[in-house]
Amino acid sequence: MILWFSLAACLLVSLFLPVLGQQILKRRVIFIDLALAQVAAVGYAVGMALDGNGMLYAAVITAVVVVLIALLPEQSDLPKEAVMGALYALAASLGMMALAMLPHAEGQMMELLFGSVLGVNESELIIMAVAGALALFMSKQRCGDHFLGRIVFYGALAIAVVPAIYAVGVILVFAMLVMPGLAVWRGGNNGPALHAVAVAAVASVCGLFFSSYFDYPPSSAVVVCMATTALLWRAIRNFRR
Amino acid sequence: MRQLKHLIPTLLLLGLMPAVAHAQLHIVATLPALGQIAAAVAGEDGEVRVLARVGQDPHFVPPKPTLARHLADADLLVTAGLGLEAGWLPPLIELSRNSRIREGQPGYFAGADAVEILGIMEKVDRSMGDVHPEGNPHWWMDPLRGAAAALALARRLAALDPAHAQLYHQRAEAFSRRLQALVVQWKPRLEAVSPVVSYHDSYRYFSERFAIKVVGFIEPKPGVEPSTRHLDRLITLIGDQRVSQLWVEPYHLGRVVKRVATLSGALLVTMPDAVEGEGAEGYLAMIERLLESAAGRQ
Repeated sequence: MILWFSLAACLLVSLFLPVLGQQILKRRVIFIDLALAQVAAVGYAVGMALDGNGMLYAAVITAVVVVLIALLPEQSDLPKEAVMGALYALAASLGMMALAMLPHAEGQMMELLFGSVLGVNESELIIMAVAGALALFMSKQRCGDHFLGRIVFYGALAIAVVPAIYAVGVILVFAMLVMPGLAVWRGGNNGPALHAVAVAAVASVCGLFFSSYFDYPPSSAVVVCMATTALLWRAIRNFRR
Repeated sequence: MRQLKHLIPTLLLLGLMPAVAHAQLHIVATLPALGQIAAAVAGEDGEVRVLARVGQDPHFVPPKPTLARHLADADLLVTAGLGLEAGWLPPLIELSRNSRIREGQPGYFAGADAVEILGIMEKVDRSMGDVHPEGNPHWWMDPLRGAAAALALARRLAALDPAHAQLYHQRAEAFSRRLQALVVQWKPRLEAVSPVVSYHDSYRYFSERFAIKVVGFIEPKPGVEPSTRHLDRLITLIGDQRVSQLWVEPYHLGRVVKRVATLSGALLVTMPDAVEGEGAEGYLAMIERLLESAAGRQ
C-alpha cells in the first residue's frame, strides 16, 4: 500500500516539476525553490506562534515574497542566483528564531520542509495534482519580462513547489526540478519537455522498486536513479550523434 | 513610587550577594526529566536549571548563549550519558570554561553510570543509523532506574556538600519509595496489554520494566528513512500480532507515523519523555502519564 502511494506521488510530481524546472534553468534562478520552501516554512512557524492557521500564514507570506522577488527584473545587474541564496539564508534564520520561541513547533516546521514520500495520502495526491495542473497552466502563459509576467512565473512555482515539498521532501523536489532538465539540455537551450518528464518518470519507477526490493530509503533511491538515468540519457544521445 | 525607590537598592544588594545569602549548590541538568530527579534529591539545598525544554528532541538541542552561561556557574552537571547529548553538550561545556563539570570531574554526573544498561552492541557501523553503541541511553523512562539514579545522585551531592548529606539521602530514599510503590501498583494492571510498535527504540527500559512487548519500529535505523517494504511489512505485522498502540516521541510525530496509523488501524499514542512539573511531582506525572497511556486510558 505504502509502495503504491509513494509511486503515485513520485509519478505525479514527475509530470510537472521537470517542466517547471526547465523554466528555472532557462532563467538561471535555481535557488528559488529552496528559498520559497523556506519562506513557506517560516510563514507556517509564525502562524503557529500566533495561534493561527499555519497553512494560511504560509500562503500569505509566500505570496508577499513572490511579489517582492518579481520586482527584480530579468536583466538586473544583480546576480539573481545570489539574491535567491540570500533570501534562502534569511528565511532559514528567521525560521530558527521563530522556533526558538516555540520548541513544540519544531516538528511541524521541519515536517513542512522535509516531508517524506512515505507519508503521502489520498488528499495530498489530489492537492498536488490540482496545484501541479494550475502551475503548468500558469507557466504556459506568456510570462514575459515585465512585473506581472514575473509574478505569474514565481507564483506558479510557489503553487507547485510548496505542496510538493510538504508531500515528498525537499531533496526529491530539488532533484525533480533540475536533473531531468539537465539530462535533456542541449546547445545552451532546453531540450524537449516530454523527454524531461520521461527521465523523471523512469527514475521514479526504477528508484521505488529498487528501494522496495533492496530495502533502501525511497527518496534517496529515486534521486540516485534519476542521476543515473540522466547520465545515460546524455551518453546515449551523444553516442547517436 | 516612593516604596519602589527603597526597593531598588534592596534588590541590587540582594543581587550582589546571593552567594552569601544562600549556600545553595548550582545544579544544571541536560533534560527536563533529569532536572526533576535532581530537584527531588536536592530540594531547597540546590537550585536546578535545565538546558533542554519539555518536548525537545534530547539528541538535538540548539545551542544558545544562555545555556553556556548556566553551565558557567554550575557546581554539578547532571546528564543522561551514553552519548545521548554528545551532539550538543560538549561544545557548550567547552564554551562555559567551567572545568568542574568536565567529564570525569566530581561535578559531572551521568545517570547511565548508576543504572543497569540495556542494548549494548558488540559490533556497530554507520549503516545502522544514529545508534548508541554503548547502550540505549533512555534509561529514565524506567521509574526504578530513575530511583537508582536519584540514590546515586544523593551520594554525589553529599560528597560535594557534606553539610546537607543527610537531607540528600533522605529525599532520595523517599523519592525511591514512591517510585517503587508506583511500579508495584501498576505492574499487574499492564499484564494483559497487547504488544506495541514504537517509532525508535526509546521506550525499551519502560516496556521491559512492565513486560510490554515492543514488536517493531517505524524507523529501525534511527535517522534513516525506512523503506516502503519495511513499512508495508510493519502494517501487516500490526494486523497479525494485534498491535493496538503505536508509540511515538512528541518530536517524531509526523506524517509517516500518522500514515502507518491510518493504514494499520493502530492507535497513535504520544509518549513524552518529560512533562512540565516541579521536582518529584513532575517526574512521577510523566511516569503516570506513560502508564495510563500504555493501559489504554488517554
